[in-house]
Amino acid sequence: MDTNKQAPTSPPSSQQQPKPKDMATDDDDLAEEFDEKATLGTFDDINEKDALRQEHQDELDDLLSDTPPPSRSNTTSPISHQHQQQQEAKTGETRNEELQYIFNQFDGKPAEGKEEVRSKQPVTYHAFAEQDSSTPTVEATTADTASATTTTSPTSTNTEQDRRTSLAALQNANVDKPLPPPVDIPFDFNKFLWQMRRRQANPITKYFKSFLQAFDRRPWAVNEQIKIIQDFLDFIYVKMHECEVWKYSSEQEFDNAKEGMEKLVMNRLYHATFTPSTTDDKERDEILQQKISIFRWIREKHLDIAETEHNESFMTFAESELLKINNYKAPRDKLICILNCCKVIFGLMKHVDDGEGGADKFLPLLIYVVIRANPPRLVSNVQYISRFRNPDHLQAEAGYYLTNLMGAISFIETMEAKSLSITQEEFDGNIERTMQELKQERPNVTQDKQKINYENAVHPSHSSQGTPSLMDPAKAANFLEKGSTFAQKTMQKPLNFVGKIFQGLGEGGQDDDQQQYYQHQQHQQQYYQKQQQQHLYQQQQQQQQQQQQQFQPMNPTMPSLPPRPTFPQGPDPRQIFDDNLKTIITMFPNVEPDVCFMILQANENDVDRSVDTLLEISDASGSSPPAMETPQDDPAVDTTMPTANGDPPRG
Amino acid sequence: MTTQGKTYQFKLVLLGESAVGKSSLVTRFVKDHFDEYRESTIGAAFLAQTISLDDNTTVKFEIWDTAGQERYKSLAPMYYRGANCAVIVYDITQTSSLDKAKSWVDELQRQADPDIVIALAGNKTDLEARRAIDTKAKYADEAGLLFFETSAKTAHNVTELFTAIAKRMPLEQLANNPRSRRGLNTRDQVDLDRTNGPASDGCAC
Repeated sequence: MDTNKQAPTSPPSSQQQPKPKDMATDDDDLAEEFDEKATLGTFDDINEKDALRQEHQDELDDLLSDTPPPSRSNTTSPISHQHQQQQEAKTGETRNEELQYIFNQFDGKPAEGKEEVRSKQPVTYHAFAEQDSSTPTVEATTADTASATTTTSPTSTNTEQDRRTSLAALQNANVDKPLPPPVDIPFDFNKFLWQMRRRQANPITKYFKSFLQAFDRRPWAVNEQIKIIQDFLDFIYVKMHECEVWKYSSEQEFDNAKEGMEKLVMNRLYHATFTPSTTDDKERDEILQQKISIFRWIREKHLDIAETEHNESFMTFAESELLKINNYKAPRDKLICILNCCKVIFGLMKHVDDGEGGADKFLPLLIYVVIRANPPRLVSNVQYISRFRNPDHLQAEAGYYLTNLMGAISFIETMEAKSLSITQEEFDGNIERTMQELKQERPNVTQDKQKINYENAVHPSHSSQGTPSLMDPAKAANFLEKGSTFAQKTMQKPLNFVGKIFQGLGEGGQDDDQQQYYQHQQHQQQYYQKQQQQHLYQQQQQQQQQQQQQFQPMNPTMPSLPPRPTFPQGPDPRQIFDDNLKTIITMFPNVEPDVCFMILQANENDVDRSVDTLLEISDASGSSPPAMETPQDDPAVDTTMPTANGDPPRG
Repeated sequence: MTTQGKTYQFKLVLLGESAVGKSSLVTRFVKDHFDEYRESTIGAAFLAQTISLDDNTTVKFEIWDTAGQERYKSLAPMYYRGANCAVIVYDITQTSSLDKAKSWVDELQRQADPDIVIALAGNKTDLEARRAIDTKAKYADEAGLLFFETSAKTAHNVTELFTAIAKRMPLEQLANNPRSRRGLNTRDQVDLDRTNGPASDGCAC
C-alpha cells in the first residue's frame, strides 16, 4: 500500500540512523555509480580525473555488458569475455527493438498497443542534432563525474558529518514525534548497484544502456522526456520483477530497487533533464535569485513571524538543508533535502509554541528560509523534481511540501510592498538602499578580477546581474586553479563539435572567412535574439529596475524588481567585456568558459579576433574535450547552442 | 481493522482565514483517532488520517493545510488542485471570517475540480457566548455544501464532520478506478504557473 511505499522515501524520523549513511555514501556514488570508489576517491586533482574518464567509460561498458573489469572480478563469476560479448550483441539488438516503442511514439510512427502520448507535440527542436551520437554515454559519464568534482567535491568530505549533525539536531527538534512504523528496509543505492552488477541482472543493464543511448540520440521536448523516462521506468520495473535478482525480493526491497533505478536513470540523464533548454527554468532561476538578493533586508516582522531566540539557529540550519539540494542529482535526493528543510522548520515551531501551528505558521517560515538561503537554481530544482520524481512519491506528504516550496517561490516572484507587513515608504527605502549596496558590492568583488571573471565565465548570466558571488574566496580560488590548468589542457585539444560545423560550411565552396564571419554574425544574432526574449520576458521588471538604478525613486509605487544591469545606461568597459565574453561562450558551448575568457583577454576584448582564434583551435580536430562544468552548465543543454543550419534555437 | 476491505484515498484541502482554527480542527480529528497509525513524520501542516465507514470500507484523508493570511490567497490553487474534498472553516465569533469562507466557496465552485465535495465548518462553538454568526445551515444547503458547527477545543462535531465527508465521497465510482499514477504536476504541461488549470489528478478523474 501507499503507506509502505512512502515510508522509505521521505526522510522520516524513523530512519535517522540508517539515513545519514545512505545519503553520505550517495555523494560519492552519485558520480561514479559503477566505478569503483577506491579508484577515483583518492584523486583530488581534476586533470587526473579527466584522464581517468575514458578509462572509466571502458570500465562502465564492461560492466554493463557484465564482463567483470579486472579490478572487480571477484564480484561476478568469471565468464568468457568473448562468448559473453557475442551473446550480448545478439540480445542487445532485440532489446533495442523492444525499447523502440518508447521512442517511436514521438517519431510519428504508431506505437503498437501503447496509449497515446498525452501531450503529443511535433518535435521542432533540433539543437542537439549535431551531437555526436557515438558518444552519448561518455557524455553522461563525464557529466556525472564533472558534477561530482565541481559541485559536490568541495563538500563531499564533510557530507557525512554534516548529515550526522543535521540529523542529530533534527532528532532534538523532534523529540516528541509519534512513534515511527516498525520495520523499514532503508534505501541503499550501493546495494542496488551491487545488484545491477550481478550476472543475472545482465538483461536489465543491457536495457538500461540501450535506453541511455537512444535517449541521447536526439533532443526531446520536456514533456517527451517525462513520458519517455516514465515509460522506460515502467517497462524496466516489469523486467526487473521478472529478473532473478529481484524475483524473490520483498515488496519493500523491490520498491527500493525501483528507487535505485530511478536514481540511476536520472543521474545519467541529468545533463539533459535538469533545466532543459526548451523551458524558461533558467531565466526564472535567475530572476528569482536576483529578486531575493534585492529583498535580503526582509526580516521576521515583515512576514509576521514571531521573533524568538531560537530563530537564528533553526533558520541557519534549515537554510543549510535547503542549500544541499544542489549537491544531489536524483529527484529523490533533492526532494529529501526539501523535506529535511521543512522538518527543521517544524522543529522551530515546536520550540516556539506547542507545535499546534499548521500552514499559517509554516509557510511564512519557509518563505523566510528561502529568502535567507537564496539557493541557486531553485526553480529548476523544483521543476525537475515535479517532472521526474516518481509520481507515486509525489502524492502525499512529499507532494505537500514540494507544493509549499512552489508556493514560496511563487510568493517571492510576485512579492511587493503589500505582500509584506511594511509601509510603502519603508519598502521603497529598503529596496533603494539594497540596490545601492548591490551596486557598490559589485565593483568591490570585481577587484579580484580573476575570481569574478571565472564566475562570469561559469555563470555568465548570474554575474551579469550583479548577484553577489556565491562562492567563498577560498573555494573560488581553488576552482580557478583547477579551471585554468584544465583550460590549458583543453586548448591543446581539438574541439570536435565546433570544428564539424565550420568544416561543413567550408565545403560549400565559399570563402571560409566570409562564411565564418557570417556564421559568427548569425550566432551573435541568435544570441541577441535570445537576449531580446529575456528582455521582453522581464521588461516590466527592468523598467522598474532602471528607475531604481538611477536612485531616483520617481515612481515609488513600483518597487519590486529583479534588476538586470545587463542593459547599462552608459558604456562600461567591464560590462562590454562581460557581454563579449558571454557572446563567445554562447557561440562555443563546447569550449570551457575560462578558455573563452583567456582568449578574449589575449585579443584585447576583440570579439572577432577571439572568434577566429577559437576557430583555429577547433580546426585542429580530434576528440572533444571532456565537459568539466557542473551539469547545470553543460554545454549540451545550452539554449543558445548554435546549429549547423543556423536555425534559431528555441528558448 | 483496515486490512480488510477497500481503502479509498482522498486529498482534502483545508481553507479559511488564519486563526479560525483550521489546524486545530484537523489536529483534533487526528488526535482523536490515535488508534490508527499516522504516517505524518514532518509536521502538522500535512496530516493523514483514516476512518472506517464500515467493516469493508476505509477512507483515508490526506489533509493539506493552507496558510490563511490574505497575502497567500493567490497560492491556494496550487493546494486545491486535484483535491477531492475541502473543508472551509470560519470562526463563529468573527463575522469577517464568514465572508472569507464564502469567497472560498465561490472560488472552489468556480475553479476546483467540479466533483469536489465541500464542507463548511463554523468553528469555536465553545465560545458560544461570543457568537457573532448564526448557523449557516441554510446557506450551506443552498450552496450544496455539508455544514457543521464544530469546536476543535471540545471536539464537538469534529469526527462527525469528517465522517460526513467520507460518506459523501463517490466511493462506488472510484472502485474500479484506482488512484491514478499522477504526480503533483501531471503528465501534461508542467508549469509552476499553471495553478488555475483544471484539477485533473486524483481519483475522481
